[in-house]
Amino acid sequence: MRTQRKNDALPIDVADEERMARALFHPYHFNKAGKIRPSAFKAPSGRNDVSVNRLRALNADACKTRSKAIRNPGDFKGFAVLSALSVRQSGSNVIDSRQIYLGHADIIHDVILTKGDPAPPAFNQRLKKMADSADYFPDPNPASDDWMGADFTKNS
Amino acid sequence: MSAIPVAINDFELATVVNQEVPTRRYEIVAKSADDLSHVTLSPGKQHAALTLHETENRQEALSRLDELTKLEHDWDACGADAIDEICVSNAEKLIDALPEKTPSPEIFPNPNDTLTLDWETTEQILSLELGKNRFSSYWETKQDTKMAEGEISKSIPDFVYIALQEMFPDVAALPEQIQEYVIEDAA
Repeated sequence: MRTQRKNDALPIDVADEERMARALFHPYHFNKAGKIRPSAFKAPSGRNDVSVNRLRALNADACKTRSKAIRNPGDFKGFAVLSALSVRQSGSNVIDSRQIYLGHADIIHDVILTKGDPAPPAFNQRLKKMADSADYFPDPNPASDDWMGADFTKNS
Repeated sequence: MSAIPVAINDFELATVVNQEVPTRRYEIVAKSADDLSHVTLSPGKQHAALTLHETENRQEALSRLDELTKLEHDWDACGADAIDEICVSNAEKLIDALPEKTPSPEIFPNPNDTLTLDWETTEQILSLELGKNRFSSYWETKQDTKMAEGEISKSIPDFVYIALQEMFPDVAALPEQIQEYVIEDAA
């Protein structure tokens, strides 16, 4: 069922225990071993926001629908799921951004990258820890409009 | 024993006279020693031991770079910049300069138009981000994490070369004197 849930009671504050799903796309969000790349959590130059879905507000089908809408659906490979706490512990933050759609949030980094310049090594290592802390939920059937993989919304 | 033509960089330069399976090491007879600058020649012989896998590995890495140059703006659907050609050139130079027996890195684009090159063993990770003029790198071992950043003044920054020597002990000795570099322990 591709609907949002619990919308009416969604608080603006993103609690530490909330889990979020970041859409992953082949091939640049994975290494050869299938591990999530830190760059999956990197923002483009001049920005510090990285989009995620709040699983408190969106179910798996809704997350997939939103994700497939932003890019060639064939490239969609699944979700990286992590808690707001793990993001904050790494040094970044998570804020609600429902002006994009209800259930949308942004990971906010305190580092804004410059075009053509590498990120500070400590920031890159932070993103690696963020990627390592995330659970990867592959989509076994990206062509389907429904989510058919493991349930990643539990404990939300 | 069968003779198999060997091509490096699309130039047929040798003929395989002995193949050891499954190590995929080949003994070859070169037409010219000058053409084997990245192959170790046995003294006094125009024979060389070439690990074909390394050649394929390098070619795969260079093909990957070529693929990444074709990425257009917004390749990640989140506003990513196209990869800067100078960053690609820096990566090509580094790959070309890698010592024999050093595996080629995995290469990834970054949304800020730079490239990341990663080497990973069971116990260590070396990550290098190459920009247009600067690099940044961290090296995780079981003991600690070291970091460095600075101007790109050599094909392979000293910090990276030292890390590769630790990770892949067969790496040949550093050909130039090591210059000072910034290094610090992670907090």
